Amino acid sequence: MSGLRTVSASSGNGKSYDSIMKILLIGDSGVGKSCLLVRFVEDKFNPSFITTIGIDFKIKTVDINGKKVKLQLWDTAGQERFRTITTAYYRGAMGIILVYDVTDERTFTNIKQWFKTVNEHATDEAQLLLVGNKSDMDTRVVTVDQGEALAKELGIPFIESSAKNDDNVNEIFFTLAKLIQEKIDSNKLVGVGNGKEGNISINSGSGNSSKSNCC
Amino acid sequence: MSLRSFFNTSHSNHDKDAIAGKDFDAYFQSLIGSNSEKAEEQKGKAISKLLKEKNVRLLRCMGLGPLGFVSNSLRKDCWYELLASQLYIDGSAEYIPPVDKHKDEGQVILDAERSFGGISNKNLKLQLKALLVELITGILRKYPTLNYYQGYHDIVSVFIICFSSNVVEDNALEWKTLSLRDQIDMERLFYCVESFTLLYLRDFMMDSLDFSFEQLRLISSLIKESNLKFYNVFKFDENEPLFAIGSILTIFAHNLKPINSGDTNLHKILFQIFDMTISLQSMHIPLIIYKNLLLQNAPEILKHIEANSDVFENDFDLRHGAIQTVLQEKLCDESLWEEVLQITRDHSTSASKKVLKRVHLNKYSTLLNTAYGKPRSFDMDTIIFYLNEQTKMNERYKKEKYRGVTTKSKTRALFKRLGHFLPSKYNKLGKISLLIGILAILYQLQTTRSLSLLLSLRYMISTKLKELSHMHMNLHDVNHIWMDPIKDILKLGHQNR
Repeated sequence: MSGLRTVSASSGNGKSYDSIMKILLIGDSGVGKSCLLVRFVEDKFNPSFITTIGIDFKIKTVDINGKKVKLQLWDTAGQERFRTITTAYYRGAMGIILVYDVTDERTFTNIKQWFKTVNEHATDEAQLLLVGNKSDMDTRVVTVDQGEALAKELGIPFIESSAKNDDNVNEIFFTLAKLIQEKIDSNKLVGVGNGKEGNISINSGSGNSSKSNCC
Repeated sequence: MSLRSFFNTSHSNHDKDAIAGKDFDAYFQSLIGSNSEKAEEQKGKAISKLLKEKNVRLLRCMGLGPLGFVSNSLRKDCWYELLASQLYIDGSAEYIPPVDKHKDEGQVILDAERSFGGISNKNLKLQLKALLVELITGILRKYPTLNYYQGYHDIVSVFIICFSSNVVEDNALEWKTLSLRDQIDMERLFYCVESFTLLYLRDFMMDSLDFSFEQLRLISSLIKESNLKFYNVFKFDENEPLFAIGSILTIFAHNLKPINSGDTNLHKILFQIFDMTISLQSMHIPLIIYKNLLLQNAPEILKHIEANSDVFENDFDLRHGAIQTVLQEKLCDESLWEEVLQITRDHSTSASKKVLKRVHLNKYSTLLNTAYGKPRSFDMDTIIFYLNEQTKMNERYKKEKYRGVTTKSKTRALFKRLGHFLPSKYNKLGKISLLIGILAILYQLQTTRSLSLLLSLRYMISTKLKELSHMHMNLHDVNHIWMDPIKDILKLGHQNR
């Protein structure tokens, strides 16, 4: 069962995009998830950026291989107690960005726990991406090699970024969107409209996208 | 109780008082007249007089009315008088064995680091952050059974700004050498944060969000009572209002705190919300305000849902997206806020018993005792008892989640789920008839098949429905899960023939 879904809007229904991708940012508190998102969507950086409580949502339309893709970006609270809320939003996520802080080893160690949570709650087809943020900082404790090794171990791609210096921020979202698009293309999902509600195509026999609900 | 009836009660009890002797409407009209500065001045004088008299009853009326307690210099004293009247804390007493370090202090530092974004003076900002950490860790170490949550720091920041605004707003001060702590009444500030935490925020400070979810569900129940059409179209019965968590856990401080130095008017609204909450001694207020915010924007929210129904993966996301998109813009609209606060004042300021009955609240919830909306004084023994009982209850909830429910409640839960998870398109009659159908099948199996078959059937259905009880499930997408048990029943019956 798959939770991946694309929306084709090329049939003159007035939509300004070709497809939609639901993407989630997860990781420990303070690693810079919201800063990455704000840098990407609004091209701003504020070091005293406000804490995310529960979940926040932003939208940005990007061009991927000539197609207009609407990225639906969900930013989650990092504190453990909000996990029960944030996992409710994993459903149908096509891309999940696991973020750690290169200056804080604990956040790097916890990535394995986040990976486990993703496996428990997200769909099998969700494309994951590991991000080591705050690469501009002199106080780095997690090396690039360590980041790459972990990504290899988890079998997911890896990018180091700095929301502050705007290093590799766009790359995170474009890389992920392209990988999702490739996945969709290989699964032949694009443009398979079911004729309902503006050509929505849900490639799931039952619409049940969460592993925890698989029978 | 509406503000009007509240005032009238106060009026009859204090008929000799100069302010209470005036007619309610005329009095408040004079305060909110065309010249806001004049109104502020008049109300400020009245509040000063009441503070001198320690007239808590009429101070509460002032806090509820337009402009709230007017200015932070008056507000800090009003909050102190009100909170001190609601809870007596002996500063020298030790109510729970304190700890040297609380487990959540790391998170406090992380969140404090991101606070006071609206303050441009670096040295002042550093001192404010340090004070925030000091206050929160002070509370957590004194009451180690409390758990810190992200958002609590926003609430404590409101108290800090209130107590320090007279010096913070003075640009002539040199914060490199000046100590902020020396400029404010630390003892009173700590007392206010301490009593507000214990009386109003216990539900949020357990080891899980279970009791916070209970409060959020009350929003749905309030909407059902006020606007059934919106409730049905929005499908509040299927979508828990998790989108409200940031606003409720912070009493709107997360939405209205000044991020930039120019956001002072929204800040005034935030202080008025706190004025109302403390004056009424009610955590119903943030929930009612949220309900009113939604209802004021209901047409736009529904329009947004309709326009974006193909943009989101499921109903739950669609509804969150619509609320966030509409409210994000609206929450900056001062006139909308004024309107919402006035609606809140003009109508019932507590959830009715009918509304409360529809939602499961833990027995010791702040919504039922210490912040129920009725003026009442509490002693620390009672508060510690509530706190301990809630902590135990929360632990039990957590253990039950792991262990599953007991055999007896399993069966009860099974039938409850059967009713609850039937697709909403069926009406009550349809649900009942389907339940009767299931019961008939079970009865048939019980009389004609072995007991083990019956038990395995119950286990099978129970397991499937437990999967469904995963919160926020969009029921429209999972009708098949309801069908699966029936198919399985038929298969099972077939195999046994």
